[in-house]
Amino acid sequence: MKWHRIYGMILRYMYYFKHSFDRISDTFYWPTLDLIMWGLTSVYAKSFMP
Amino acid sequence: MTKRFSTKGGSAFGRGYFTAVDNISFSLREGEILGLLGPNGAGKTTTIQMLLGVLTPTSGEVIYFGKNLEDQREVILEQVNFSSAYTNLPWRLTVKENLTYISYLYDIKNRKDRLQKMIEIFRLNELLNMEIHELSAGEKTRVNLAKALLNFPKVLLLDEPTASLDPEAAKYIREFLLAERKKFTVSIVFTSHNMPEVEEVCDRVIFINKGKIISDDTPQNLAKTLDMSHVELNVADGLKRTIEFCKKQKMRFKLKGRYIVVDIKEKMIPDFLKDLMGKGVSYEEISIEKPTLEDYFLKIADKSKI
Repeated sequence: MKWHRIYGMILRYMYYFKHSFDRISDTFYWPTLDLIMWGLTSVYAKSFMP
Repeated sequence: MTKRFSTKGGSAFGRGYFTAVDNISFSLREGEILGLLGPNGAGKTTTIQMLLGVLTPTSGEVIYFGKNLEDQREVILEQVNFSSAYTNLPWRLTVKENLTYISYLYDIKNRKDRLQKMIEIFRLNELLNMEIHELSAGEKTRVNLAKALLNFPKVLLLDEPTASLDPEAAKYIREFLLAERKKFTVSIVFTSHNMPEVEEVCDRVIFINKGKIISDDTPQNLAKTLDMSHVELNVADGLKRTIEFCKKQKMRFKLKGRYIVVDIKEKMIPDFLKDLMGKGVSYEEISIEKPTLEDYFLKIADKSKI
C-alpha cells in the first residue's frame, strides 16, 4: 500500500467534486434528503405502535 | 504471447474465438526505439495493452527487467508509462489537475519541479486551467505525452503519439523523444502510420499482420528488401509510346497529367531509359525514388487483403 497513490486518488475525486454539481448532490443532498424522509416516515410509523 | 478474444455466437470465426495476437515474441533493448507497425486490426494495440497489463495474454508472459509483469505488476508499472492518441484523461478535470493527481500516482522525487518541466517542454502553460474536453486533439496529445513522461519511465509505450499533431509540433515531439532517449536511455515502443516518421525515429521495426510477426529489422533493411524503385518522368513528347512500352514490358505505372511514375527494378533503370530514347521519347524532368518503408507497408497491406 502506497500512501502517495491513495492521496492521488483522493485528489482526483476531490477535483471531480469541484467540477460536478451532480456529484456534490449525489454525495450530500440526496443522502440528507433520504435521512430526513425515512426518519420522519419511521417516526410517523412508530406513533402507531402500541 | 497470444491473445484470443471469444466472439458472440462463434459462427463468424468458426470456433467461437478470434486470435488478435498469435504467438508473438520480441525483446526491447535498453535505449532502443522499436516501431510496431501493421495495417489496421493487425494486433498492435492489443500487444501494447498486454505490455501495459490492461489485457492478460491467453498464453505467454510479459517480462520487464527480468521480472514477470503478472507477479510484480506494481514494481514494474512504476517504471513504465504510455501515451495513446485514442485514450482520454478524465475530461472534466483541468490539465493542471490531471497532471497533479497523476504525479501522485507515481513515486516522483521533486514532484513540483518535474511537473513544471513537463509543462514547459510540452508548452502547456496556456492550457493549464482548461478542462480536457475543451482542448483540441493536438493539445490533448501534448498533455498525454507530458503525463507519459512524468515518472521518468524506463519503458515508454506510445500508440500513435503524433497523430493529430501539426507537422511542426510532431517534429518537435520526435526531436524531444530522441533527446530523452539519449539522456535517460528510455526504451520506447512506438506505433504510427506515419512511415517517414518511423524511419526517422525507430532503430528497429517489427511488422505485425493478422497477429503474427512478419518481419523484424531496421527500417532501412526492410525497405531494401524491395528492389522496386519509382522512376517519375515528365514526358515532353511520346507519352503514349511510353505507356505502350510499359504495358508491353508488364511494368506497373501511374499517370499524373504529363507525369508517369513507373515501378522498376533499380538495375533495370539505365536499360529502361535507353529503350525510351530509342523510341524517340523525350522528357523534361526525371526523378528516381528508392523504395521506402511506406512501400514495404503497402506491400504487406496488399498481401493481407488477399
